[in-house]
Amino acid sequence: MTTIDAELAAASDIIHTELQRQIPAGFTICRVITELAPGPRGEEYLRATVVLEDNHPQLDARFLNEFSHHLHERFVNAGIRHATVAYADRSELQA
Amino acid sequence: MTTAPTPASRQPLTAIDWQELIAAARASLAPASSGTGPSTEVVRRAVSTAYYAAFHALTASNADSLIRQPQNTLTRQAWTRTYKALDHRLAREQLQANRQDLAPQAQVFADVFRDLRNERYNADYNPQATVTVQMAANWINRTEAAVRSYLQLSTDTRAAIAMLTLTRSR
Repeated sequence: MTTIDAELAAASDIIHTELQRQIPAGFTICRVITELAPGPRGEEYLRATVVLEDNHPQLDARFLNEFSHHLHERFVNAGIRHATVAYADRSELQA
Repeated sequence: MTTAPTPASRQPLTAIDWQELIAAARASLAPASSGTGPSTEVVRRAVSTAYYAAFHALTASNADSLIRQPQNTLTRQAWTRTYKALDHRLAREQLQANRQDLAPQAQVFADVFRDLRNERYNADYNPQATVTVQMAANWINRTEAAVRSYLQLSTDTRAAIAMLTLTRSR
């Protein structure tokens, strides 16, 4: 496993574990996909997509912001870059 | 009867309204009357527009907190120059570099700003990127929540952040 692969796997694990702990009832996490994506000025960033089972309640924006804020410290402690986290429904990614 | 246009120096100073950008992005995601959802290109534009809502909220906050209410030509010019001075990269870098000293709601704004800048770039330029309606809708909602919270900070605090995001340290 390369250093990048290890970083991607670590980011996915942290996001999945922490979100499982904090997400309100009514949501099922199918999987977390983390990849390197092109960012501004040639920089790459870690882009995570949390795939949720369909028919969940509305995601609360403040919860998502607070969760991302919480992740910042976890990524620092793990010695990896911060991952930008997006949320999609399972059916959207199958289309 | 024709009237002469109002000189620019006397026109009311208005920021590009971040709330209108949020509303436009949100409206673009609504299904058409036929029931079909927005095209991928429209979804990508919605993410981009959410980023610009955050950007213009910060530029307006910077100008308002530093110049307050412009009263004359000098302060009007200063407001406009401050509004237009924000550099995308410097803003993101300085918000992150000073993150540990920011109030929690400013930290949240800094994080959303950084993440949106990445996502905007990806949505605008990377044809391989997956950008869904849910993703875009969440970014719009998160932007609105982060900006509203940020704007509740005191004027003095936002003025300090304005200086940090507008200037480089030597």
